[in-house]
Amino acid sequence: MTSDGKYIISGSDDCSIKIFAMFKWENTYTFENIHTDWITALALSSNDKVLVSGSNDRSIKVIYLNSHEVANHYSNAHDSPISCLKITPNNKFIVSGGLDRAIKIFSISKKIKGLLHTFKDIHSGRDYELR
Amino acid sequence: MLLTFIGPIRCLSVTPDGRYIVSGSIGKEIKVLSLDKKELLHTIEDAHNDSINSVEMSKDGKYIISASNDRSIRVFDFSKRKKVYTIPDAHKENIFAALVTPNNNYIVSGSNDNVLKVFVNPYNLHALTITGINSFH
Repeated sequence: MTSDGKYIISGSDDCSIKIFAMFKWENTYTFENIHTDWITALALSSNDKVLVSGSNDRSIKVIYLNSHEVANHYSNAHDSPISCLKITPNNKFIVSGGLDRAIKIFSISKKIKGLLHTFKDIHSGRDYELR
Repeated sequence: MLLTFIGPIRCLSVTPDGRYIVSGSIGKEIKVLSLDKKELLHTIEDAHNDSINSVEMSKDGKYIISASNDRSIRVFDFSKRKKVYTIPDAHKENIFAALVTPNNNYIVSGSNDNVLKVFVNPYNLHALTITGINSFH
């Protein structure tokens, strides 16, 4: 949801990201096949300008919402599907968690070196589950 | 039934001051990491009785709100790293999200039971009991 309350942004297992206008209930924009596998996480910058997506395809993409262009991407961000991600309040960094037990910090802008830090094996807990 | 690779990290959040990462896991624990020092600071063991699916910070940065497969929503004091409130049986099934509204007044949660619930946040309104004030089926 954008901070002005006007748009809902959703990510899906059909590899697309859709933007819907609140109250008009219209799909105003669709990013088709932005990933090659399920989209598992979305985060929006506090100024509503940048959208970051994480996927089972292990990649993270940075999208500019006004131009709809992919401004930056990390193709093998984790050694596994990405389970969660957030943007830091200063809108400079992405914090992502993966099924590979790592939490990583990436730069949003291409101008700064991409992967800034990796926290390895932070969490305990089983890796497999019967579903 | 399929043996599925799940990995322990389920959810994370960044504190409003941008200094810390809070993460929740299948191993029922919540961890606090320093973004400045790039190190693990604290672990809250057995924060829940089952996998933690969501950790979110209150907008004032004082509380962690967590949701779990144990069907409870819990509130932790961020600086003391202690549990201060539990909403037991908040839902009938696994809870996947619990957020605080920007005015800090309410906690909104979603679950596999197909119900969206709104709870009064006691740490803003100083209410003694939390009740589901509204449910959307």
